[in-house]
Amino acid sequence: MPDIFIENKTELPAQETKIVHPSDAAKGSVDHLLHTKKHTMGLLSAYCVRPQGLSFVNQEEDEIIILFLRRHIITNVPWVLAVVLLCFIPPLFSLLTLLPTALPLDIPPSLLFVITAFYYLIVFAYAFSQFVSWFYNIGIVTQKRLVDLDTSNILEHNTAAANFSELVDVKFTQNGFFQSFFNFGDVHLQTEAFRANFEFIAAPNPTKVTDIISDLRIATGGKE
Amino acid sequence: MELASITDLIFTNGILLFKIPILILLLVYVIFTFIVVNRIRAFNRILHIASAHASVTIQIVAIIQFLLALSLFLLALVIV
Repeated sequence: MPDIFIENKTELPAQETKIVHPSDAAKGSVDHLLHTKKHTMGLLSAYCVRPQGLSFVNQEEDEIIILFLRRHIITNVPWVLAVVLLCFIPPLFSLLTLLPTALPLDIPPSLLFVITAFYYLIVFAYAFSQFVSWFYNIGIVTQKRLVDLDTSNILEHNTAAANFSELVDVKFTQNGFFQSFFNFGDVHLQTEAFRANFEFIAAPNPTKVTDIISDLRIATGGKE
Repeated sequence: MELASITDLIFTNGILLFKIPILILLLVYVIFTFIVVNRIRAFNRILHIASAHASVTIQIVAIIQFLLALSLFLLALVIV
């Protein structure tokens, strides 16, 4: 009886497996980023690769901005809701004064106008300061370094920069439903011990951000 | 001045109860908005966002806020 299953003795020629060194791969990735077309940023952009029309103080002539980061726009929702609620307080208050049990306040109309206008100006100032804190709280990644512009409130501003050679570790955390749903998280950049650590809080696409920074770190000769 | 006339000054005319505190608060607010304008000018020197005229827009909003606060303070001085 003839054998049906016969082992094929002919050996296929061994395929040449190309081993790519991590630093070469990172250099290729960075090179691709540097030659990516520039993207136009909107007023409320929170994430932009190769942004157009963006510059910062002390930017070197040959320094190219690769990544622009802000907190995810969804992080503004709490203060926007608070402002909307605050806007409804004066009409509600005026309705309450119409009740028979309300205290008889004899305020002249001119004074009432000034008080109401002042109230709305304070609400506007709160909203504006929150917006400015978000707008100028920026992380910038160039091919040479990281720049972190921190604005915790409108009267406080810190600027810090670090070269990629100083970076020890790059990682991100995503906690909770909203961060997972809207795809944002905190990117932690650990630098040498004598330098403060960097944080891009609530950055959109944290996986991509971490990947880009890691590639830049490896491509510029940082620790793998 | 009698006690009755003082209470009349406070509660009927509302000078001490409302007008002076409001004017002081408005003056503080005007100073705050002026500081905000200067801070935003400083921020724009650090970072320039040309697209969508973002830096200019924020600067204009800050100036409008300052002018509104100043106008309200002057209006309060006159009408209150």
